[in-house]
Amino acid sequence: MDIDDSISLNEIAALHPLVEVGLFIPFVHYRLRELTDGDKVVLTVSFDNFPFYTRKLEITWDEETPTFRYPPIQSSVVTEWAAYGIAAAVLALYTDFRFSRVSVRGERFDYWVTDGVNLCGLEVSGMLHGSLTARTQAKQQQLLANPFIANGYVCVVHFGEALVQLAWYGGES
Amino acid sequence: MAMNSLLQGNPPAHLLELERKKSSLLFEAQLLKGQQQYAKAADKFVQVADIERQWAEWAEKEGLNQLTIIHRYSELSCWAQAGNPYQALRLIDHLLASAQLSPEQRADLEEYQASLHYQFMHWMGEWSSASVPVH
Repeated sequence: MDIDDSISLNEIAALHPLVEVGLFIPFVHYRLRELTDGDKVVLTVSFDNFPFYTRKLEITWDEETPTFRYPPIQSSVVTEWAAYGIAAAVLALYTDFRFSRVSVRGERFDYWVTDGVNLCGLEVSGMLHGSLTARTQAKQQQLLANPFIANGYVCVVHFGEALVQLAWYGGES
Repeated sequence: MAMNSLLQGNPPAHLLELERKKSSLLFEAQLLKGQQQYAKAADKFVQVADIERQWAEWAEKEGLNQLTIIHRYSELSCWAQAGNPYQALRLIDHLLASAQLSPEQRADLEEYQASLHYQFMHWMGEWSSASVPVH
């Protein structure tokens, strides 16, 4: 399989110095290890604004990568937090934006992200089953219902099918 | 469709460090909630509320109106999540008096206010009823 890009789970936290992204790495590791007995997984990343363009993203790990045998929280949260970790990798690889702050309530998205000047929203969702397209559309509506008039990204990670969709909504990205 | 990004200004290093701490505190709070350790989770939310207050005060001084609203909004939400709806409602009253709120923000805040007010009144009623043992 041709690989376009590669990143280690151990590198992701350093890409987002303003937010403790490293907390999510054990959750990513846990979900990705369900897909393989090896030490790497290839995800297909698609971009909603460019429907015929995809990237094959290889994610690797090693014995230093934090993990756990039994997650400390329910499965749906594990999936969501694992998606945060993947979103952190995808955002840094394919955009100029980085995580800036966690949204607490009211924004209708999970993170504020910044390119150094502007703040935009990022809504992340993880799933094990179901339609990636339907979930992305639902998350788009949620993002655009926010009362802060921000542009934003939606990143949906389908762990069951090793797919990621990154979509931008608003003005020019 | 939303078309405008928000300006974030040039925040000082200590606030950026607090933001990083905030992300860790919120993670811990959600984890504790998931483990039904509500008092410990509430303590984390109170700490985040204080960080949000510091951000809001800085943004207000810098004239970053929308950033101020975002952090005020987060601050009051943290008080609610910490189990202190009274403090949250006081902050909502203060925020609703701001002329900087957009119609969408005002409507969203009023909806949240109504929800919190209902829960607060219900809670007050519970505590004043005979079903609560008095020692």
